[in-house]
Amino acid sequence: MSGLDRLNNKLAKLKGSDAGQIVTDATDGIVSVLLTEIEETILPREMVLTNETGDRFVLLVAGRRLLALGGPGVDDPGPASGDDAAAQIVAAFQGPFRRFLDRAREISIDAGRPHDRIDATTIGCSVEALGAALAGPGQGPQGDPVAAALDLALAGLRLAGDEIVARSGDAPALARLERFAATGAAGLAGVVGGDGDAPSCLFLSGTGQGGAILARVAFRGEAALILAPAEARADLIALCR
Amino acid sequence: MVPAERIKSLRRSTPGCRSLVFVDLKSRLVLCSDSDLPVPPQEALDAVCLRGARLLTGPIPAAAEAALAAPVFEAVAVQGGRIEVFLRSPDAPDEALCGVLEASADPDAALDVLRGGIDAILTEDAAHPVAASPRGQ
Repeated sequence: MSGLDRLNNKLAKLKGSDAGQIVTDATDGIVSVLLTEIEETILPREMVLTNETGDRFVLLVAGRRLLALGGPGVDDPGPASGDDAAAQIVAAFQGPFRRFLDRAREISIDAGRPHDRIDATTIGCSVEALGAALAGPGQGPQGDPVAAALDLALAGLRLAGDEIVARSGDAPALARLERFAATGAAGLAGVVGGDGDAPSCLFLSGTGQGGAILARVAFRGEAALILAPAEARADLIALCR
Repeated sequence: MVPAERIKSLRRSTPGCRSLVFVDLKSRLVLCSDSDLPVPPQEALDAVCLRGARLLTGPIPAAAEAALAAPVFEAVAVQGGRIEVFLRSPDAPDEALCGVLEASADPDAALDVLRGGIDAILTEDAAHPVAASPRGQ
């Protein structure tokens, strides 16, 4: 099955059983699918989403960035450049484009090479910044995922860069964490990073879903290094989606 | 079943899995892979393999083992709409599965399937040793 067939099947499933209704859950699913596609797109690609009445939105994507978003209701659909490029893309995505997805009974997608050459100065919006903006207030990136992770911990350290700025929890577990912070934490940070505008979560565990986990949740230069019960796995992941 | 078919079948039965890579952690080589991307770049597969090797072998899991008071066999990484899962088997510490999941996937559900999958691969390998292709498929 080609990538486009797979995408169209997925979109059909997300929209399939809800004819005539505005279903925001379906929209969230479609947005998630699109973010994944942007994340995996390096070479320039034009994605065209069409609804059942023929209305179209065009997404210009390259280098894991959304460079332009055009369609009905978007004021300036051209490639976004300058300081407010990301804000411009996010506004179009959250406004006209999201309404288009909410109201569509059917959505199909087509993709191909862009018709026009892309200006190298076009910066658009990174998939991380777009994901963070779309998560909304109080959901992960707009809140404090580092503090939220510490709330889930049996014991935790708050790090600013390499420096421990706060400790919480059980003393023996804290001592083990501090040893890890001195020996393995830098390596862990190097694997995933996460100091940018999108939070990151990385955790290590034994086999199976029992036992404790060692997790690092990072966001904007700060990180939580925690020992947490296995039950916290889903909540930690949700902080960073 | 040849290694490529096993990995293909396992990826398709793993919910939300876009790419699945079977790797040798010691040599940091991709032994076999399957992906729903038309042509997954080898560089991307190699990068996933390298992350798996760094998380499951060497100084990071050694330090983590002391903190957890248990050996590390699994890792999950989530960032920017990208989810990756890594696991090795206690019975074959040099081999691992690395999966790239779609943003909406449940990594725990994927790991449940992959745990059974790696055990099956290792059991079959032990019964019918097959020389794995050195790179990609």
